[in-house]
Amino acid sequence: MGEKEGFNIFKAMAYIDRKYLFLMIFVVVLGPILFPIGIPIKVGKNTRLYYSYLDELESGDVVYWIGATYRSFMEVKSGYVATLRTIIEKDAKLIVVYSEGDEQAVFQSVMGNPDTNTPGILTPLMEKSDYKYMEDYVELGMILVGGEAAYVSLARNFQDFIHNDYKGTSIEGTFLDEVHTAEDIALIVHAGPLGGIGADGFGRHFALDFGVPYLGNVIGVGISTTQAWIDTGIVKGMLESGRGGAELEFLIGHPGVGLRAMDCMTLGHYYFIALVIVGNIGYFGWERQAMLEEKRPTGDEQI
Amino acid sequence: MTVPLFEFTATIVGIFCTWSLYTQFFAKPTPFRSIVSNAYIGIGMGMVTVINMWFIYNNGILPLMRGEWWMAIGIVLSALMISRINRKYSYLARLPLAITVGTGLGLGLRTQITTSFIKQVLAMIVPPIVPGDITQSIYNSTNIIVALCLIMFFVYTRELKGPLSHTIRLGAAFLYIGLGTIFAQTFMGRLSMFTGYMQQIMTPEWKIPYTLGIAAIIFGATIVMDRYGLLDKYG
Repeated sequence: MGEKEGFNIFKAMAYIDRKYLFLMIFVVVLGPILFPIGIPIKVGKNTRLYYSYLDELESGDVVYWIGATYRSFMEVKSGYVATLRTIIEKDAKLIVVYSEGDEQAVFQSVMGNPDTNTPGILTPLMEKSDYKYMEDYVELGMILVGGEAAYVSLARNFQDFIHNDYKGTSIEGTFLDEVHTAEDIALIVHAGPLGGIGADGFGRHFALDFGVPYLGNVIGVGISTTQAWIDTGIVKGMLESGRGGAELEFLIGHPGVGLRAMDCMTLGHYYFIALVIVGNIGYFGWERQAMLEEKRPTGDEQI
Repeated sequence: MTVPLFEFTATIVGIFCTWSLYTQFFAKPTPFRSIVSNAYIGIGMGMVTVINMWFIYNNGILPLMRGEWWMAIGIVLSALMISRINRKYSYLARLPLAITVGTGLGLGLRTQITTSFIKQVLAMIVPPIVPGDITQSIYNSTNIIVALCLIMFFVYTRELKGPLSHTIRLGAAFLYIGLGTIFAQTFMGRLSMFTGYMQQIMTPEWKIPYTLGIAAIIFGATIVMDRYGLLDKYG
């Protein structure tokens, strides 16, 4: 087989036990959480573009908020909270819609549940700004499960199809009386899609047909696909996963979990690069040699 | 700092479930992981069922009782979908499925062609050189070259010989670079998700000793069970 006795650094690099690799990931992530370092970050072009649309919001503007599931929330939490904070501070109105059941729990973990008096992350800001349910924001529930018909109804004939919120309470007398078509919408924010955005219903029926600005707080997997949609003009801006959220926190001047997580992200990426280098050294220094030696004719001297 | 009992209990259970699932990295089945993963599926399905039934009640039954009679059509069509569980009557589910698919296609086809095809092609028609903007010029030129090479890579109708064969190799190289980029972005996203959740179970500070303590207990128990061969028996 061509194996040599004794310690071989290349063999060690090629066959590192996975348990130790995963243990190091925990060390690299938990370490900066316990002992913050404060590595500086730079704000990217996409985040500035995203923020520019938020900054243009005025009091009374109506914003569609498409919820994030728990699967994406942990990744985009910083951008999710920072965006909502900006919307509340601008006194814009929110129409909250979901496509999955847990999106509501995620939203209420941030904005609280007024029925049960359960506070959320932004409840202090909401109390300070007098931002109230049914006056400033309404949760319509899982209406997006209606598929294409739901998107078209929301875009073209809101009043004929939407009569109550997720609890069955009538929305008559709220700010939604002024919403008829997508022309009455100032902005759409997809708070945490599981992939890219642009080809979905809001991109096609709102952004394409009515030119409503469409922003996305996308997870890592969706960044490259969403960039393609930004190039077409359908999507106007995006936050790139946790890093984008941290940049937005920096821009709005409210440091939060995103900025604190950047130390972990930086060290995690350095660790990953180191693993790639070590793995390649191990491959070219041992595995490849071992494969080549296997192909040689027998008769090699064995120690 | 006093923590409400419900929040404390939920946090402890959440931390226990987290580290139990992370015993996945031990590369052997563990009883902690088995219990929590099965419970997660069951609880998740239960929660989805309750939320969906509540949604149907609030948005279907209540409006029906208020006089919106057309909601009955939706409720009946939805009920027909359940006929799929019975082989004899499963054909009834084709009606609501046909209505849903047909409506979706009819409403969405125009926009899908415009956004996914026409707009994407138009976005590729850019000047290769932008006077005064080197970055954009590089970006545009790269877009055009990579797009052309990738299109050539996927031409299977005839063999491409001579200079065109080089574009195929370039196209393949660009494809690998693109896939590698997507993989790197996926890793970034997963790391971000992992970091976000670790922050969730480590802040505020009162959670730290519980997080680290429960991790030590679970991983310690796993190592001990592995040493005495109990993982194979109880995993």
